[in-house]
Amino acid sequence: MLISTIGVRRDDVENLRERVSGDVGWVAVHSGHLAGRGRTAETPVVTEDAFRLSVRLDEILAALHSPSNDEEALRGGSAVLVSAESAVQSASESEKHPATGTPSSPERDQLESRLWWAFESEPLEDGMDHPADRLLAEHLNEDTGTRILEWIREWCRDTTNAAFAASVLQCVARQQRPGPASWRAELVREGLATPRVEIRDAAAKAADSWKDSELLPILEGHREPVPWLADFIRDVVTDWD
Amino acid sequence: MFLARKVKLAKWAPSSALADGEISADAVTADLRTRDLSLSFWECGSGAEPQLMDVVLALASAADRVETMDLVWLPEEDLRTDGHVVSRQAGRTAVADLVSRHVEAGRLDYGRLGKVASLVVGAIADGRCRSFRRSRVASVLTDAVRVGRVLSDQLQPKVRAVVTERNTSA
Repeated sequence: MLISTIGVRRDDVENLRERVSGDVGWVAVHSGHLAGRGRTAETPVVTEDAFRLSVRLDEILAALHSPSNDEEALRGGSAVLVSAESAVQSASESEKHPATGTPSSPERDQLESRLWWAFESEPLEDGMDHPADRLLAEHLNEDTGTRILEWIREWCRDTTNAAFAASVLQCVARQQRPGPASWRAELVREGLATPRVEIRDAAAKAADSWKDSELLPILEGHREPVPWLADFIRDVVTDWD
Repeated sequence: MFLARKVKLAKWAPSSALADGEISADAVTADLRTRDLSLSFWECGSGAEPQLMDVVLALASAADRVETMDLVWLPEEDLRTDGHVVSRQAGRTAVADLVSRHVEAGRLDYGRLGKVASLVVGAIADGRCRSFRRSRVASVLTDAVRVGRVLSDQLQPKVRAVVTERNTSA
């Protein structure tokens, strides 16, 4: 695990990019470089795993290169590579999850990170077991409240991370009717309503897997523009039993 | 002759992040994973329903679980024209009479793998693709066990459980 503190200057961010390798579990960026975008210098603006870091670094670099940036804010910023544990703690202190706007928690971020790494290290394939299946099953079985159901809903409708959303939804669809029927119906309804075909595909297949009576009218009311998925949904509706 | 391959059709959909004609890297890295410079295909004749169902059976009988399966099928001739070495190799399937229907497109390099990706995109655009429902996959497996094409013991535990349940309730 790398632990390092550096100032945010262009060169440092370039260095950071080079130094981040697969053994970095989490990266938290505390900086003033985004001050002009409504962030404060002392607020941890993002807690990300390494998978998302390259994208985030591009955003940071773009901000640094922007002529509108406040030089004071740039000088006041700092980027910190921290351990997974302290990054999770940092995330728990921030008010909102950056991607979804829902209240963040260490448990949520830990599970999200583990799922990210699971999908990153091994692609989810139809018909084949995946480590994320057990991960989600364990949490669904252990969690007696609705927290994980809310987390799953947020992840599955996050179109900015469509591949992750679709993978989570497919793994959830592999579980024996998790959560209440109304929750499953919302998951399918929201999934079908997204502009991303990966998520709509996973939602349609979840409906086919669970076969709740509430799901049929949702499928019937959906207008699918992609031909092969429209055919699939038509088959499901026609043979609903 | 067409050659079928299991893919995830949703990954091949056009992306707003890419220009027209560009192929999603997510699709290539997820669905065209090579081994020993080769990609696995299954013969499916003219792409008619029974032949496609045989491909579903060949793949599903080797799977961990019964789940929806997406197939795309490409003209063997197009693969050969693009410089691929297409050869018959014994397939990994529990269905003995389908083992010889397995085909490998070999000697793949970066360029030829890209040509396979283009053929997949073309096949989807031409409608040579299909998403088979879980119930269809379960049905073809159950029928195959019933007529002795595959032994139940050769199936993975979760697949065997589904087949046993369907045979019991039939």
